[in-house]
Amino acid sequence: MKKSELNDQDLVQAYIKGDQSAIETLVSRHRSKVYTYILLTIKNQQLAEDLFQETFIKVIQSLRGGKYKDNGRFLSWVIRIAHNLIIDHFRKEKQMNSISNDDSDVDLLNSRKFSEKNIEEMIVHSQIKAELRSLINELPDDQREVVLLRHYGELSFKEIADQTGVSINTALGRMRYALINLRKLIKERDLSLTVY
Amino acid sequence: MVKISTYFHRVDGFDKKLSDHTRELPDQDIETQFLSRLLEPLLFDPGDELVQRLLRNI
Repeated sequence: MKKSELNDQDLVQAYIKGDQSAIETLVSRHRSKVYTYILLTIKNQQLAEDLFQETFIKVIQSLRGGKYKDNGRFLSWVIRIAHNLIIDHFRKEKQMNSISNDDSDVDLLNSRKFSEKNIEEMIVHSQIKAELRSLINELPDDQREVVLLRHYGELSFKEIADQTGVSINTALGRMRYALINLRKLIKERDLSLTVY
Repeated sequence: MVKISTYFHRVDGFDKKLSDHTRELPDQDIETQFLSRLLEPLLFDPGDELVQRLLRNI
């Protein structure tokens, strides 16, 4: 059986047993979701690249150290690691009294999807992505956090609540307000996001 | 004449133990569909160069 046909659980077990290529398949499978989660949270491409690497290095260390409890939720686990590293980064940044981390120079065309599209479609696609990104950026931090953990990390509300240190009701409430705000913004800007 | 919908009277497969969760399910389904539709195009890729660098380091 090809590696790409194995599920995450089998790949993790294969890696723990010494199959190096298994981790390559896992990274390849989840790279976009993990990277997007970090990028949309931290809003800086260079930092996102650094944290993306740090996340997977931490993943490897944890797997090698036997710290991963396999419950079939590999991606959620990786996103939680990324989330913790982002929090560490913001804490350090706060201590250093650093300036804004906003970055508007992210290469919107840096996506594997574009290789399959012609230029015109790429431009439309990049415009949609820019609009979507701006919508997400408009959300208050706590609401954006829930949306990103839910969508990219596939975390349950209980897991989001645990991860962010709030009650499940608060996590649900933040999601509810996020959706209300997103719908409101879409209406206000008269956005058409249904090109796909 | 009063028209009564039978929709709300379905009890097949209903499990009392799940009642707390099922109460939230319709909203969560709609929310998940909305989010998926909205965010599906919003996927950035780290690029092969970065991934290769990472794989060399691990």
